[in-house]
Amino acid sequence: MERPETIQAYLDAVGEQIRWKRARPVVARELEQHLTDQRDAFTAEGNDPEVAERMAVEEMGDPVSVGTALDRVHRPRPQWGMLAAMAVSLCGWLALRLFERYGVSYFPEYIWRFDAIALLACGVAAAMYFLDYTWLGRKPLLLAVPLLCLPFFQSVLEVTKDYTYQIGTYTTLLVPLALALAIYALRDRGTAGLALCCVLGLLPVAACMAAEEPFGMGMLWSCLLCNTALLAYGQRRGLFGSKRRNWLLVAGYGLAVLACLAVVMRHTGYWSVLWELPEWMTCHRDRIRDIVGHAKFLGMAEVSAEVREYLRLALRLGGYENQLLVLLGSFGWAAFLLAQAPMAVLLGTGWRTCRRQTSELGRLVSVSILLTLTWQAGANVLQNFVPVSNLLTAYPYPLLTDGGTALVIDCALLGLLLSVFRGSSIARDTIRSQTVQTTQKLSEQPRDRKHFWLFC
Amino acid sequence: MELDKGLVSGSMALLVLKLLEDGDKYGYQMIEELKRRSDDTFHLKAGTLYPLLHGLEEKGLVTAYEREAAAGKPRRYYHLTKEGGAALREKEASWNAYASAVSRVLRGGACCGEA
Repeated sequence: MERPETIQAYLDAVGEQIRWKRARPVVARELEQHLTDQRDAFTAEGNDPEVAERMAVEEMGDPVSVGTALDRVHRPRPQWGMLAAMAVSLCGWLALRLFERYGVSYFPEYIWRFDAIALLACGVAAAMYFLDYTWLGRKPLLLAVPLLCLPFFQSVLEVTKDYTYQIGTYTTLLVPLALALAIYALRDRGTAGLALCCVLGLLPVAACMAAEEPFGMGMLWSCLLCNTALLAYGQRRGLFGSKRRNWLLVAGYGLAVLACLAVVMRHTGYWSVLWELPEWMTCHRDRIRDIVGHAKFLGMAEVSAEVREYLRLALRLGGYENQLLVLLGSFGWAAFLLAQAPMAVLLGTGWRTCRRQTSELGRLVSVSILLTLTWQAGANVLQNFVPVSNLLTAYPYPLLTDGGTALVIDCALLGLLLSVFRGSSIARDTIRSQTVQTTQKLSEQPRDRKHFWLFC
Repeated sequence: MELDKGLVSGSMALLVLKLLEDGDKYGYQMIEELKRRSDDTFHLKAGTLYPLLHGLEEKGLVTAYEREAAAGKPRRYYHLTKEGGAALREKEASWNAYASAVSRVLRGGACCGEA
């Protein structure tokens, strides 16, 4: 191969060796910076600019071996384990839905209905997976603010069409992601930026308080746990500076949401129910105790005839509120744990991979998605053992229990998460207008205005 | 004296991590600094440095961020992580053990040379 003599020719020759097209401009940018520095140094030594450029290119080394070495580092990371766990979850979800409805008169209709939902969820996940997630960083506030305001329009979004219910309710699963984008957009604004993030994070809470009938506890718990954790994460990463008073803002946000939660609980009667269970709830409490107390490792629990009948009916009729409890009572602890194994793999691998993300946008997006799914799964497990309906959440267990809209949204979030992990080696945050300072810890550096640049 | 390339390439990661120990640097700066510190002995090719740096970043030993350098041009700076610091100490210890063992052999062995 003929040796390139100009910087552009050299960069093209290196790029040809890198198979992942999205990685080429990322690598080229850094090499170009280096070649320019080297050319300027040779020019300063008194060489002709053209000669200096040729010398700089020569100094760089063989473009084929450089490109080959970089190709080995920059490859998409498909996260096969997580993709397999997701496929298993979706197949399990479909099998469970069909098992629940098997034998009912409308079974053939259910077959195409659930197949269509599972296919839609697959398609949405694939679209998010192959989409370059860095588009989220272009205008993050423009995306974040409407998403955070979405709960105000929940009643408008409560579309019921054919078998689709409560679309508006499930859009609140996007709230932590929206807050992550707001944090990304305002991360260089110090305490004022953090305060604005707190205000934006209170919008869904305000929507919940303003509604004539507060729409469940799920969103308030989500704001309390996920949003507070996200704000704390941002502060811990030093995205709003290192002032200690910023922690007061984070704590203030958490306390404000907690207060709103207490008010809503009081207003809706949850508060009094917690202290004194009504008659019909004590019946369900006793049923839960009976199932948990007599559950086997494998096989149906040795419960009373009345609870046995409840389990039989619940298993046939579906409904997401107590499905894990029904699984436990009908098939034992092994089934209870096995049903959650794919999600445990997804969350475990997700949290581990999340720590290796190098870009701030990638970290914030993946943390927000993982917080949402972890909370959704954890709250759902707890809700199964609480006799008070919808106290913690009304959302289904992700990718397991009944609920097509939630399935599609959860798959979209997982697709986005996998897209972040797939492109982690080429994700870049850039900082402008700052001369470098040498510091021991990156987290201790003053954060300046960052911009994410895209390579598609 | 011409240096054996095999000797240098084996310890390249150690040298790069060491350069980052006292502050964040970009690629060109590292090459110049290495030349200066080695008294013009090590002429590291940029084509060798960048794949190595990207590999270290992949392993989490360094992180990178973009920032304007003093001349106002954007540069990609590399920063030694906590894991990178630990790896550096480990590599330094094994290099010192290796170098002193080689020196002892060259001097004629532990029993004779150090007696």
